[in-house]
Amino acid sequence: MKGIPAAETVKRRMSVAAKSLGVADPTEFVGGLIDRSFPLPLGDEKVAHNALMPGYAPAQPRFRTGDGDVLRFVIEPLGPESSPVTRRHEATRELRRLVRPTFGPDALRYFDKRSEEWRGMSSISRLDYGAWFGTAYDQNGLKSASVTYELHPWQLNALPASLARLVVAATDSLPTLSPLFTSIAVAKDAGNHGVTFMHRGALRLNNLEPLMNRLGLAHQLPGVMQVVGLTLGGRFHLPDGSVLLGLAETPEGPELKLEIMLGRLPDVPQSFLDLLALGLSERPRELRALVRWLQAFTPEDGGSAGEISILSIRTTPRMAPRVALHLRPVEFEVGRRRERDEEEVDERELATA
Amino acid sequence: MVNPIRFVDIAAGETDELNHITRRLAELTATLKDSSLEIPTAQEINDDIDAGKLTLDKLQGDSPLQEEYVGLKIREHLRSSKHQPLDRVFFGVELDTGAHDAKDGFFHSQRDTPWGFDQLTAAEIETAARYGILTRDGASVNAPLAEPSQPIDRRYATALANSRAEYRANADLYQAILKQLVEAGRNAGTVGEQGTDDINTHDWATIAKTLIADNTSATDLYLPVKVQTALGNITVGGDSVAPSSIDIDLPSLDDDATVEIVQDNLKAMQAIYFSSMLEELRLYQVADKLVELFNAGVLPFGKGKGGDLIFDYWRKSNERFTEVERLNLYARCFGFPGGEPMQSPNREFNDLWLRFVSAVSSYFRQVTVDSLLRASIPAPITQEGLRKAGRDLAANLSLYGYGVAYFAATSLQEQIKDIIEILQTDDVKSAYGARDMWQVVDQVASLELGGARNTVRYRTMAQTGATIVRWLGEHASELSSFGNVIDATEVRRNIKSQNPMSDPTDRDLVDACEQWLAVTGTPDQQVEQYSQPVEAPNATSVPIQIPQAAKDLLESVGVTAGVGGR
Repeated sequence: MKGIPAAETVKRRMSVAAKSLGVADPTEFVGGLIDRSFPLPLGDEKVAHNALMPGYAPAQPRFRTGDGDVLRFVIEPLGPESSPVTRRHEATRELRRLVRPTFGPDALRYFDKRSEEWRGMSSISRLDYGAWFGTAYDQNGLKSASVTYELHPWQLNALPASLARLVVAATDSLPTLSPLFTSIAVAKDAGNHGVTFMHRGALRLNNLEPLMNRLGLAHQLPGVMQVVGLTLGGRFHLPDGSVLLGLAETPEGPELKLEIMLGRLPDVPQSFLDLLALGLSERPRELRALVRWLQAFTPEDGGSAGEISILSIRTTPRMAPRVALHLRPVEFEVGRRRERDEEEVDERELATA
Repeated sequence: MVNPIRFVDIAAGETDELNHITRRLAELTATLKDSSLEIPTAQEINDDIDAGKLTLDKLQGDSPLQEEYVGLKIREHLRSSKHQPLDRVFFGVELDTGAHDAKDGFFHSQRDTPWGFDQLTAAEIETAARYGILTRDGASVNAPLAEPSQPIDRRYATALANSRAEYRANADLYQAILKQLVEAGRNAGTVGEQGTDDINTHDWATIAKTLIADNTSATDLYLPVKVQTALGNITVGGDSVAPSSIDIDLPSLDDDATVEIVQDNLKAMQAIYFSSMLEELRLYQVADKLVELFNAGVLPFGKGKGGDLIFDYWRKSNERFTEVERLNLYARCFGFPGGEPMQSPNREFNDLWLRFVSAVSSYFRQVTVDSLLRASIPAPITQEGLRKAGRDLAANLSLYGYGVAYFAATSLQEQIKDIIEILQTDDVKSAYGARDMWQVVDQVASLELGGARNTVRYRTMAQTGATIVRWLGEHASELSSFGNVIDATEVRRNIKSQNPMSDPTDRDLVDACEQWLAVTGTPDQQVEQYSQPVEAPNATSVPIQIPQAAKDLLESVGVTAGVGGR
């Protein structure tokens, strides 16, 4: 097992999950990229060194309520030994390759226009990871594709005017925000360009009120607080380093995304998923979709699908808060795989003896 | 009046090698003294010579440094007493043709009157011509500087045989061209009060190659005109013109198939890299915008040089590469995202580039530390590490430099020259209140194209990148063999070229790498990280054609089958 590239594990799991969810197989679209991105075996410690999912092979499945059965995941392209610029180029090339034949030339033009600052050799200094690449699949095939580019404060000028206005509103209302990355997503008839900030210091949820007021989202704040309060066992005060805040332009108006890194919270309830399910009990279709999604990533030999690393809540002026989850699949855990490999070697040695 | 004929590049080759040896001897003397090691005496050196110990591995000496010292001294001795040339390329040809040495570029027949073209012997002409062919094709002998013998090098031997074949098959044409070049170089130099007719054998061989390809015979009626035209094409790329004016030759189909780095491909890639950086700077877009504004009558000038040039540029627009075609080219050659999405990009370039640039930078920093401490401490990057990084990058560039790259490079460099000429005219500069062409670019980009780019940054990247690629091309054989890749002495002594983009020294390479890293803001820890060698990507040395059926099959499972079969 030691020599098998992690790509095989990732591809197998994604294919199995796609089959389980009844959606198109991602390996038909990005099999080559996965091969290039996970050339090392899962037992190799270098695989764990990544910015997307430290300790795991960086292929992160994501779930969104309201999507139905959709397989969505983000990867950090090209493995641990690549440079951030190469990773950025690869993610860009891959998205352009997929978008043109699937969504048409207008979608490609949209992406090219929005990604100009990050496409060439500009802004290549001080990069850490470069870029991540995401895709989503439904029963008809590729549903959307996105690239997340590392963002520095001096690159905010390169954002389109409408998004820059949202950014100014956010940083005026919450000066503790510092830009982290920008994501450009392209779907058949829509594009979405957003910016994600890291919130420095602790955050009380009602501190979001001035910002949500400026964005015309104040009426959604109670809904956001309800989801957070319910799933985190009554916690409304988020510690330093646990909050990411995303802003994006959508046809419905500005979108606010609150992402909570569960690993940074000291007291995530054991029954986190049960509490989340409780919140979704009024929307049984979404609850069933969540259960199917978790099952899709549960190993055949039982156990849990993995660890939920981020709880994300999105809202727009016309959309009530919706939950999204980021999963760290147990099968992609580097340490676990190493232990299993060592056990297998020990067993083989014993058998030989 | 008849003058002696001097072959200037033969003289320069000899002087360069002598300078290398002198510098190295001075350095070795200092090092041996510092290390309290004995400097070999003249007697010991003579003993070696008398004993016929004329190869490096047989020399006396308690340490490698002493052996190196003796080797260099023997080379000096052989030059002064036996007139043995130091330039190994020339020496190889001389041994093959049986001609006498060419002291200071003058063959035996040109040292006393009567001299001139008619006095040159057949062996002398052949020696000079074949030296030109070998330098034109980038041939070199792979041997340490201190090796007193002329070692047998298979690659050089092949190049030597090829030069013999080329010359002997076209001896009449070579001689006819030489006659024309003697006229062109009349009184070009002086020795004392005597004028000389100077010939550059590299140019001679380049012109001959062009005319051979055109099936021109020695008795061609228009030979003088053809020689002048070919000479003009070579010399137009001098120091004063655009840096992209490189001398690009078509790759020979008869080159040794084992050579994975094709020098001409790298020259083409040099021009394309240069162009890609100017593309980032929006140079082409600015030119197109100027044409558009000119056509709309918005630019405040008409009849005059600026108008002439813009009109001419507009009229030739259908002969040039379109923006999408250029972006496709950059994507294929360097993997820069852009153009048509469905193609085979060079995915490996960027990492290989960073690794080489970082390796050179780390090596230079180590050399600097050594100089300060006057001691050799273990380097984080060795010459072998440098060679690997350079070879991987050069092989990658060579692989993607096949096909349209050469032709595109010539077209793009012509276009760049046209654009620069337009931007430098007073009409255009005054229309934008600019003092130089880069201010015009900034103005047009800001006013018409949605924002200016950092011209200093991209100009630096263009020039340093072109220097680095050129250096790789010039050192293709060193990268594929043994011996030092970078001469630490040359780096320490700050020996620079007048025109680093066409003839870079090792110091120019180091400076280019440092500048490139500086303008791109690459942090030191990343430089250190990338300078460490990693396993090279799988790549063929030439593009492999994969049958369409197999390609479809591979693509159906997500594997792109393109250049190099990847």
